[in-house]
Amino acid sequence: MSSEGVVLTSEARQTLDGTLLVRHRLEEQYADLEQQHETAAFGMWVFLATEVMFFGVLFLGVEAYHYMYPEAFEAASEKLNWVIGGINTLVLLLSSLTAVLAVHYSKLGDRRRVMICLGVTALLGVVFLCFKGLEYYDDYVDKLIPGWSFDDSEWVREEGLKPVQVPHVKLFLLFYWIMTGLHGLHVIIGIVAMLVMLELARRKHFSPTYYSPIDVTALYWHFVDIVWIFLLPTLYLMGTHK
Amino acid sequence: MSSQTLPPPKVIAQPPERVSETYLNIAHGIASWLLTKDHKRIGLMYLMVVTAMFFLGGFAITLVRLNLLTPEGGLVSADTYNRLFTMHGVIMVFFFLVPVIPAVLGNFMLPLMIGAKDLAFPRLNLLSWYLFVTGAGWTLYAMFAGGIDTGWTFYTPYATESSHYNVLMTMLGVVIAGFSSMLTGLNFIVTTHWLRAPGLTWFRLPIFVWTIYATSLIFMLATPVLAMALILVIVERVLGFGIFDPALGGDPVLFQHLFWFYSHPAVYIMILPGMGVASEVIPCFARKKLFGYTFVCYSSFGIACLSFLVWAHHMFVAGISMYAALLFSSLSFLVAVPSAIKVFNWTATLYKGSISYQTPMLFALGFVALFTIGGLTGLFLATLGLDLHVHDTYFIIAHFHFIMVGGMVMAYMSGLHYWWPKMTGRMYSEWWSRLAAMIIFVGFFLTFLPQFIVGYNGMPRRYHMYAPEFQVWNVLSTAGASILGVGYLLPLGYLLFSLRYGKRAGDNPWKATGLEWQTPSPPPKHNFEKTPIVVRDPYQYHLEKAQNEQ
Amino acid sequence: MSEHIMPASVYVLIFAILVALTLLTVGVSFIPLAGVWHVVVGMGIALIKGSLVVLFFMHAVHSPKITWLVIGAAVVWLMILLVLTLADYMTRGLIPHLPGH
Repeated sequence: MSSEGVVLTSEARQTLDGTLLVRHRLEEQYADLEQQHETAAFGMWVFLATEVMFFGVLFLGVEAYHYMYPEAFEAASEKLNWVIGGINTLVLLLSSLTAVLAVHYSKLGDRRRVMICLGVTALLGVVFLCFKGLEYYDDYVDKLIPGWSFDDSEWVREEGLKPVQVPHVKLFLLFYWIMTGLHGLHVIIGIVAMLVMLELARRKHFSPTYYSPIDVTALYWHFVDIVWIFLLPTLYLMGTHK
Repeated sequence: MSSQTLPPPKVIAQPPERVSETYLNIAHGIASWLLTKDHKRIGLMYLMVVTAMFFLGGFAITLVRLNLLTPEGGLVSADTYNRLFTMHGVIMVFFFLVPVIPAVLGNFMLPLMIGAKDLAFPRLNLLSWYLFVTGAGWTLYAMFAGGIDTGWTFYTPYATESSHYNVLMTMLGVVIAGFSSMLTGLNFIVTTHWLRAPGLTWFRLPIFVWTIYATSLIFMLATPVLAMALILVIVERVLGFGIFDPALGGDPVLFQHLFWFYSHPAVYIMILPGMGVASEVIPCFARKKLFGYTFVCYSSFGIACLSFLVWAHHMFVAGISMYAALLFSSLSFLVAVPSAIKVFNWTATLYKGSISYQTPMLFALGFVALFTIGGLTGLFLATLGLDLHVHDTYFIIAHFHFIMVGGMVMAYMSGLHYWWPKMTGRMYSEWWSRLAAMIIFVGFFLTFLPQFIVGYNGMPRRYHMYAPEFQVWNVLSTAGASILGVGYLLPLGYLLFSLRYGKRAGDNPWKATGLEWQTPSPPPKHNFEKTPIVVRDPYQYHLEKAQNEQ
Repeated sequence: MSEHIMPASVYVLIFAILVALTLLTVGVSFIPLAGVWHVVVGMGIALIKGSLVVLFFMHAVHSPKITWLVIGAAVVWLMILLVLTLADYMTRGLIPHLPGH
């Protein structure tokens, strides 16, 4: 691991593919591109561990209160739109597939397919957000927004809850809004990142030995998908659907 | 290096002034600092900010202690008093104690100690600094534009519903600073894993690296929880989404769980790097290998992991279940064990060593003594029956100040004085620094020992007035605080003086082991001319002794 | 890291399994169970789905051991947060006649 100037692996040397950008990608504290890539990926994993703890707090909150107020929470959960929730799950899963394919084609140097996969991933993210928007609008119509669109008596009349349980329903809905809202924010960040990667790919920024930004962005995207995988049962499938 | 531009010297009485390139003189101008990617410059920039925050936090508590000279208070109103101690707590915890050793000494020393050219992600490091400054600026603005009166613990429902002060702004500042520390921790973890020099296996690393790594683990795993807790309070204040609102069936104690899930490990964020410093300084000034190196390594991890299992010992009287209280009390006893292991190891290192009492050693010895006392009182507090009696009294305040001021700040002083020659290339006045150490030690005892007494006798914390029988001790405590203040101002003087007029330090003024001493003082921008190759275990001071005996 | 190139068909297969598990988890929610069982089953299936994403989409199977340590740490620490906090909530009110318990 000598430090006399930049050290390139032989593969990197071979795959300059018409650009000099590869040689300029290696930073001085790294011995070679592979070390740099592994470090970047590891860094993203460590960051994702913090995100696990970040979202974990909300899962803790909703389940602690679920333990305290099972009836109210399950009644509230039932009113959420599980159809859109389910469809959105499938949308995100598909986007995870296209994201990993983007990485796959990066390794193979297939720039066209990389760009298609990155673009479709971003597009599916937007589709997710559109369905979410639709769902949020429906929630507004169904009066599921405490403090803005909510009818206390409806829960007593139609769901058979006691008046003292109605605030607990609000508590559940607050978690729904905060958790899906925070998740949506992460999706937006992911979409932006994917579009940035798409643009860089268009500019021939990457090669089979230098594609770590795509890899790292994909890791983030998969994490956002995993959060939703857990959100679905936690929020939408808490009680028995009739 | 000597073969570059200097003409061959004629007969000289003294070595010529070094004209070599260092990280300090390689580039000039404010932009070269504000846009730097050099971990050493970033460390110095952190030093400036945390020092300023330290004195601001000290200013707040000066007013508090002056107010406490008389039982009826009266210097400031009760309301202002609340805002002053909150300011002191928030600034000292989030903007001094948590970042100081990792962001200043850790940033500077970690790459040097592992033989690397920089951290893994230098731009992220700079971003961390900007986030820290933003958070600090935002919080200071909140403090001076009205303040906040919830205490640094921000308990709900007061913080969410009743306080009409700048809760939102303060919390935003703390959250932003939290992101800063997460990025720093990420950088340190990745760097330690991937950028070690050839031959530098984990069990050849200096203990300072182990403790910074363990600290970074806590940064990563605990800070997100605090960030979310504070964000939920912000959301409640702004949008009325009352997650902790009792009217909705919410539980204010849930906030306490989330807050202390971070804040207890946070105190280990504060002390672990200090322990790392002591583990460097004590072997050096005892000229002896660190005793039980492997135990000290594992105990660093042990402290980091166990620290996450004890948080509810801050909540024994908050309304948690009795069974949970029992569980957390037992776990709290456990966490004392790895700390005690370290104290035994430092003491055993001193035994039969050739001890010299330079300033870094004075501070390190003070650290060990005061940390031990503070830590022992922690065991008292882990005992449920006793904690019920002394919770929310000055006993608690004395306990954590023994550990944080007597422990951590002393360790920081030790590290600062130990590595000052490396960072600046200058030696400070040993006379003045020893004087400062003595003054700090005396001032510290006078300030905080009386607080154990009044606390045990029932004087509650966070009150602007107290029962008349406590006055003598409070006056002593305030007197001590003023001495302590002088002690802390002195280094500001002689350290700054040394920058211009201090004797030039060589590469290794303390004749210490460790890679950071194998490079010039101050180091060049790239740290090492050639990447070092490590073949030996750390702290090989006994080899020198063997050589001397031949 | 760049040596391991999984065939694209593996990714498609994993995707198909994930879709199936999603349909399963929604289907189970129609079975009348006590609330806690819905949580257990839901979380269980989610855990399997999440593991598949981590192992194959995020290439954990081909990642260095240290990555496994990071994943493990995240899971363990999340469990610490959940278990110890819920230990408080689930043991409150066990002694009804004692005030505050």
